[in-house]
Amino acid sequence: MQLSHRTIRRSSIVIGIFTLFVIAIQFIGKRVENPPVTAPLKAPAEVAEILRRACYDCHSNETKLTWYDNIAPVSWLISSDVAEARSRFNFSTWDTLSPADQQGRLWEMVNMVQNGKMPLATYIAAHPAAKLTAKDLAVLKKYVTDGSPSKYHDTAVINQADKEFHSFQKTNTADLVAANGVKYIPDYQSWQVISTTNRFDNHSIRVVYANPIAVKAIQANNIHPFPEGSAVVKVVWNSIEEQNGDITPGSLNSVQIMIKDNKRFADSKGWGYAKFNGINLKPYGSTPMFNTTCYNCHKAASENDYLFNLPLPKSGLK
Amino acid sequence: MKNILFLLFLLTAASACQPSVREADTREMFNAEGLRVITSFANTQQQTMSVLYGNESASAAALSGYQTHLPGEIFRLVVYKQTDNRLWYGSHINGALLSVETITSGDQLNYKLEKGHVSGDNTSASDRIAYIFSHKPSVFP
Ligand code: HEC
Ligand code: HEC
Repeated sequence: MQLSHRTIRRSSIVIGIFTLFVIAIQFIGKRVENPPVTAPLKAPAEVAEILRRACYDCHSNETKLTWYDNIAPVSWLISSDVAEARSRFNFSTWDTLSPADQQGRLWEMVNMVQNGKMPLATYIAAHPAAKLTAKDLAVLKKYVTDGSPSKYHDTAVINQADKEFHSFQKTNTADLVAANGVKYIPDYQSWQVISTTNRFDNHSIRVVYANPIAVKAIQANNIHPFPEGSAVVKVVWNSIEEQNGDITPGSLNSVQIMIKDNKRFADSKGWGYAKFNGINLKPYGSTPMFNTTCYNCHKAASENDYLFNLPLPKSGLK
Repeated sequence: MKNILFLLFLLTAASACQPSVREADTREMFNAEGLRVITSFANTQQQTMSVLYGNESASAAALSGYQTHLPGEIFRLVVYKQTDNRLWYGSHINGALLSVETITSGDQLNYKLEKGHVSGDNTSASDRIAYIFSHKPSVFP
């Protein structure tokens, strides 16, 4: 096929305009800047190396960009990812978090990596070294596990549980509501238990209930997504752990709720979250924004419509 | 990204339209038939996770420290094998059902192993009743 002069002239004009456009956009949009590192994470060298390699470009003030990261429009994407990532947690200002929150974040990191959510796939595509290996993950798991040891026969939890047990009384739950409008559900104890769990990250033991709509959906594996009106309630106790492996429920930690209301909670895939703390069921979160913090971590379970504690499918039972 | 999401959506929509659910994907939950949770507990060395249920009078007996019993109490202990939660390193979740045991009260306490088997040295009826009644009720709000 022969290209006519006209076609050639036309395509050079197009290429010319495109080049000018690419040059022009280099002058607009935000660039990533690196604010000072005030209180960096202190971790063993082996752990720090992994986090620096795979996470620091976004979750710290030590972002190191390659030449192509600096070219718009790639730079625009990167700068918005970095801003978002730093707003969630920042290794350079790590000490602004309480020790408990630091530990909680580290467990969340391990799980976001394990479930393939982090680092972002788009980032791995351009930075293959950031893809963590099974060995890297094992190092991170050991680090968090060592940082959250069991405290056997914890008398603080035992005494508090005794106190709550002896004053065993029904809290008045009539007006209990979280800042996002999700109400406490007083009669969840008549629902079916879907699972029971215990955790060695935050040392607690749980019972998870679901309403009939959600139970039916789980049985039929009709959970992608859960039907409107589904509700799940999780009761959490601080655990009493003994050296012989026994774990029993101590003081009440919280009652947590997820309800499916697609209109009201469109921003969190239809789930409205609520958490009521302690024996007095104090609503957690002073503004409706708390809903997003719940949702962000539950993204690790996106494959089950954001529920972690589904009973195992028959094929998974051994 | 948008395209991938759309593709995923199509795939899910397509599979949702299929009439029958794969049996292997369905999930069973123990049906306590109206009994309520009295407490739950676990043992990480034996790798078991348990839920103790009861009817209203059983719960009342549990709250009084299992000291006195009236006819009509039903206690049911369900024991599962502990498994790792695939979606969260840091959490165990109940796996396969190992046993279901029931204690009922009439003129005396009756024990029955309904399902599965109980492991350990002390598996006589009186041993199991003593074991089950060693568990204080959980503090429910
Ligand atoms: C390319 C930038 C980038 C890299 C690299 C990256 N992240 Fe992220 N991370 C983000 C963004 C953007 C979000 C918010 C995404 C969302 O919630 O949808 C996020 C969210 C998270 C969250 C959830 C925080 C919350 O609000 O609950 C965790 C945990 C996390 N990242 C851990 C990691 C870990 C661990 C690494 C390294 C192994 C890593 N990330 C690497 C950009 C990045
Ligand atoms: C750091 C991660 C994280 C955050 C933040 C978080 N959750 Fe969860 N949530 C989990 C994990 C992991 C589980 C499953 C393990 C367990 O707790 O038994 C879970 C389970 C639940 C369940 C039981 C249903 C299920 O998914 O299995 C409810 C209800 C729930 N969370 C509510 C909340 C509410 C309400 C908030 C916010 C106030 C919240 N969660 C914040 C990690 C998180």
